[in-house]
Amino acid sequence: MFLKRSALHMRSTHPEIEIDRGRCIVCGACCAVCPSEALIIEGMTLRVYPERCRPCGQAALVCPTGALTCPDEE
Amino acid sequence: MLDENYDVVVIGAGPAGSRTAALTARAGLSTLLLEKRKKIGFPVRCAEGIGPRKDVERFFELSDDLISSTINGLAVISPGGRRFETLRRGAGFIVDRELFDRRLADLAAEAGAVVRTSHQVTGLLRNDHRFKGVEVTDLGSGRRYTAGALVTAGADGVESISPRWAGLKGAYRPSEIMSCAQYLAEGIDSGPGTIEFHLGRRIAPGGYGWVFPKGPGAANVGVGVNPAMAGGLRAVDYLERFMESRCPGATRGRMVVGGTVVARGLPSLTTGGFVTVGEAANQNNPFSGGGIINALEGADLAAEAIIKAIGDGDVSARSLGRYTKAWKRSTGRTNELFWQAARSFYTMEDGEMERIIARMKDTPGLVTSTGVDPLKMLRILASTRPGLLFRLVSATLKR
Repeated sequence: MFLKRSALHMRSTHPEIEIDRGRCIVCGACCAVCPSEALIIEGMTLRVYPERCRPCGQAALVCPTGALTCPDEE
Repeated sequence: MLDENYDVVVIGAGPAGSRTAALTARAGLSTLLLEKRKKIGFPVRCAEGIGPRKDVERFFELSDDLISSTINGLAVISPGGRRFETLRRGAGFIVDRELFDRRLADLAAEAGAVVRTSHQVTGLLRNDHRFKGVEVTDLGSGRRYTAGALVTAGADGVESISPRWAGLKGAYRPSEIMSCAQYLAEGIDSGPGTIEFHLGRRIAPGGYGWVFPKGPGAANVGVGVNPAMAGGLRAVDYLERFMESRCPGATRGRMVVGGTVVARGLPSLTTGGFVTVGEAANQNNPFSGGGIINALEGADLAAEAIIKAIGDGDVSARSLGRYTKAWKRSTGRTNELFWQAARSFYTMEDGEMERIIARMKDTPGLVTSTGVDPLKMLRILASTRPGLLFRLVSATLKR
């Protein structure tokens, strides 16, 4: 458990949530669950602020189309 | 120094925001309505079902161009595939949400509100006592400006951040969002005007599948799932599966996906100089996810409180708090019952759900002309889940 946690922590210094733009339809479900405002809809596009992301996996979980991939999901 | 000043600034031109802006503008308050998207109502993120005419027309005229089809009955299909059908003439409508939202925004503009699209709110302004307006970016030109307001109304929908900035709520848990995907299916065989709700873990864990007829041979076919129960699959995966079982031959037309808030009501919808309305304010029905009428109702109550507060020269949390109270006395109360019901119902194993649905069929008056009676529903649920009754009583007392 502790090992897993520290591994998560190490990764969070270089978090990179990936968006498959072909699948993302900018519905905002991910923004609703993101605890750190790392995902924001700006106009008609979904913008990611990687420096704010502490990869928790919630955004990828609620995405209806599977457009988001979190590094920790692999 | 503020660049512009208004009595009321509304964030988001969906049904809740446009209705709020229309009412405050009609009352003579200078009103700015801001929408970050380029085009109001687009893209549609909704299954487009709405209640009976008398419910909608408490707010505005439901003209024929807004209606895709009339709902004349509803069918519930149990996990085991049994079909329970009720005829209800004019129980509701499938609307064209794009036109619907545009009509509401037009009504706001006609009432005198300033309506701007492609203008994104990037922050709230505040002083020590209250919120004082918004920071805006014009996405077209990149220009940034501030707009002061006596009251700011956050109606920014599922992805709303403004009520979070105002401290009224936090981020949602995945289980509070129904993850939805829908095709406009063509060449589908559905009863004339019968909407279908399909239940069961295989079709839609923690939610339901729907067929909403949109016209001859066409229907919105969709699923909404609880992401926490979906076992790693996405709403679109469940949708493909549902299409295969419900209408294997149908053509897959326009796809609509999105999240719907099915969370419990917020403890407060107001703070000094700020109110939240519609889906942003958890005003959707947490059992069905439906939110259009609720948003219009929320907007009426919010606007009433805003108009009174500004008229009294007191936009404090206490003064605007009238709106929270009014909501909790009306639809907020029913929503609490629906939330309790949803929590029990959608977590059931298929077998238990099957038995419950059979019992619902035998309950007279469960389905009324305006929808499902939440108290009758809870009574049925409580009969198999004794713990539910206790939770309900204690929750009612606490609130």
